[in-house]
Amino acid sequence: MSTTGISCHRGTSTILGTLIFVGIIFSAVIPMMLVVKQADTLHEMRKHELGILDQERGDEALYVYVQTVDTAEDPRTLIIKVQNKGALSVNIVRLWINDESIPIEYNIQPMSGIEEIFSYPVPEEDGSYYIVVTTNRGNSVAFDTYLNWDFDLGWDSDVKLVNVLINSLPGNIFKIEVTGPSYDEEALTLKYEPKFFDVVNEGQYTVKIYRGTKEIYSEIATITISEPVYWVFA
Amino acid sequence: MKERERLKERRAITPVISALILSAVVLTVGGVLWAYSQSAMTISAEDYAESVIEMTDTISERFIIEHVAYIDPNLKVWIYNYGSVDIEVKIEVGGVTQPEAWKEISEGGFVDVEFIDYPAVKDDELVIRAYTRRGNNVYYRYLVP
Repeated sequence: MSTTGISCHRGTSTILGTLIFVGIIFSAVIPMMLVVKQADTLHEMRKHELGILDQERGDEALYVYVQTVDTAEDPRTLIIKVQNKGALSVNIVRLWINDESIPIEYNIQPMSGIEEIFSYPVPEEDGSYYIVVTTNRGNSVAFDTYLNWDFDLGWDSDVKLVNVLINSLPGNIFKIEVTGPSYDEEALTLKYEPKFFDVVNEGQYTVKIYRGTKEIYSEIATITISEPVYWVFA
Repeated sequence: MKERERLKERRAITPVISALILSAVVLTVGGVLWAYSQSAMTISAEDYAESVIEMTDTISERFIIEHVAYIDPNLKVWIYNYGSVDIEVKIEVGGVTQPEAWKEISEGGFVDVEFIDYPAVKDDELVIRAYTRRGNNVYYRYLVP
């Protein structure tokens, strides 16, 4: 009789203990696990977003061109143009002309043509100008070279280059031939390896690409003071 | 006979009291345990969430040294925060750190830091390091013009 009574009382305590245990699980452990899980999910989401942001930053393909103008109507002006060759729209947030930053807000759509973003009146005295454009994804894109303004000689740039990058032609080893005003150079190159030809003078240059002895590509590159660097993508 | 029955009835009070005591002990200990575990779990969850947020902010930092200029004798460094969190930065060049206090740059912000009287000559190659309070670094190589 007394044994049965004790186990009956133990049973009551066991039920109470179980209820408390279940209560602790539901009111403390599970909410904590949910908070932990939610924090982890948010962290993973952010990591994923940052991965996309970094990927997009790497995928930006913005090109900067600077046109020099020196006419009676428009003396000593730099016209800054950009072209978006990438697949994403690009927001330009700032323009640098030497050490001067100019805040701008300009959105350029993918695969657009060359668009003018700014016109800069150059001071009368001699000087060199280096142009850089910054995007909101943290890329800084510079124009290929310094542009020099000389009061007596007008505009000039430090370098004039014909650059060749072979990325779609079949084959691995190529010969590149560049001919133009007082210039005749040839060089061997590999696929995906850019080759630079310092052509010195303005004018038209013929770029021919050979695989073995067979000519497989030809393009005319025009070098001017406003476009001192020409890229051939073959 | 009657006396025996009366004794039996009196003996039954003890199990009731013991049951009450046992239940009271279980309820008290359980309540204390419940309250303790709830507060402990809340603190743990808050700590964990806070550390995850801090870690997320650390990996979210995105900034660049956008431009550097040496206008003799001062060196000027511009930093652009293109990330989605506010940052605090300092710049270190050749063992010299500026500014003394952390410089705050809000999300999408852009600030400059100036090194007054920085000794450098033409063609010196300076390695500039921008670092944040959260421990991220960005390096920039600058050739003094």
